[in-house]
Amino acid sequence: MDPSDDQIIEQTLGGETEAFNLLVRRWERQIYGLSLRLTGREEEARDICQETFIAAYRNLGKFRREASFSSWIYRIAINACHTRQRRQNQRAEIPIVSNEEADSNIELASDDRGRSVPEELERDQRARLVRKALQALPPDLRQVIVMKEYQDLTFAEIGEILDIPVSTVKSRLYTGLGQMRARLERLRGVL
Amino acid sequence: MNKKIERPDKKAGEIGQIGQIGEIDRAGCDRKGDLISFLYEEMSDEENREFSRHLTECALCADEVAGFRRVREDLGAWETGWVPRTEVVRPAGLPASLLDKLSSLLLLFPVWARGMALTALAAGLLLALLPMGRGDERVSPDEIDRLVREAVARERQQLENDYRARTVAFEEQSQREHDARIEAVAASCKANLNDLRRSLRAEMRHGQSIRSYFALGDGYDLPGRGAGEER
Repeated sequence: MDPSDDQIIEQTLGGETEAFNLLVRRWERQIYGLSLRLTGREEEARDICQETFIAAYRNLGKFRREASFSSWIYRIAINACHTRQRRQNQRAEIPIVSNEEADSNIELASDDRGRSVPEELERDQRARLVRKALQALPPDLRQVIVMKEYQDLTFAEIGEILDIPVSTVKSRLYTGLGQMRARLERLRGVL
Repeated sequence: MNKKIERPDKKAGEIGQIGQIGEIDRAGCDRKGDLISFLYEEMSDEENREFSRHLTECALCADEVAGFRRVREDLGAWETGWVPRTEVVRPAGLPASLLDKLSSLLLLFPVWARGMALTALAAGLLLALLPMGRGDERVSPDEIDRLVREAVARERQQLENDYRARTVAFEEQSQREHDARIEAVAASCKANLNDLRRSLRAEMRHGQSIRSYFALGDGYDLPGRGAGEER
């Protein structure tokens, strides 16, 4: 039976540094996925993933068991995304990734899952539209959509991570999905 | 199994205050919170049944549920694919106390970063020890700094070259796989076409009058027609 997150944390704090790898293995896909969908850039998502686990490792002793480890690490990752966003804004960079870079990201991201070539192409096309629509959303709306759709978190879990009421989670989801719908329809109309 | 619903607080101004795109005038029905709970199946069975009944009466909610489901299907198209590995490594031979001091700095970095850091550390130690074996020959701190920087730059260059080589190899591999896939599809289409032709020929042998299909131009002889027969 696999050890729980709390057991792994105990082992790590007890001096078994390698035990932390189990936590990394368990959560890296989710953290990378979250960072990728929030930033839209693979390279940045990789960095954020690294930073998140480094920060978690360094601060493991401060982790309070009131919340779950998943909530805690998601919060660290989201803060890392915020920090990067702020730095980019200070440098007056446009955070939205270029179409070429994003397209290449999506091409790299797609893999063979037994689909036919036309199905793959159609899926890639949809993924490009989704990325554009998602990146155009205000960050607070993008966050809840990514957390709900890709991380499969409950409203209560999202509320806990973002420190907002469940009603706000729902209202942001409603507004975000509405904006996504309008943007996707508009983008499809342009093609 | 449905999850327990959390009833939305009906605080004024919470919903619909962000942005204009995609906002819908919901005059007459303000069940956005329930709609979202229904969409993500975070409702009790009873609440689910009740909202399903509501959908048969409220065209606005029904339209939004359908529209949001399409958005969710589209969102599913963006996959992450492979995920880069992060690893905590304990180098052999280092005492635990030293490891603890170094771990937060070195051990959580990716392989290339650890390689660079360890190279720099090794170069620094080597250069710092050099004066001990050379009697009066001393290396100034600036000189050590310069040598370390050069060593790191060389290592970095090497790692970048390796990375580029791996990228090129990956792209070539992807291209080969892509070509192979296209060829497989083309072969499949060709096989289907040949099957079609064979079945048409079989039908012709049974006296069916569908000779016009041979306009496909594959050079087959028409069944039942000799070499000198006129068309």
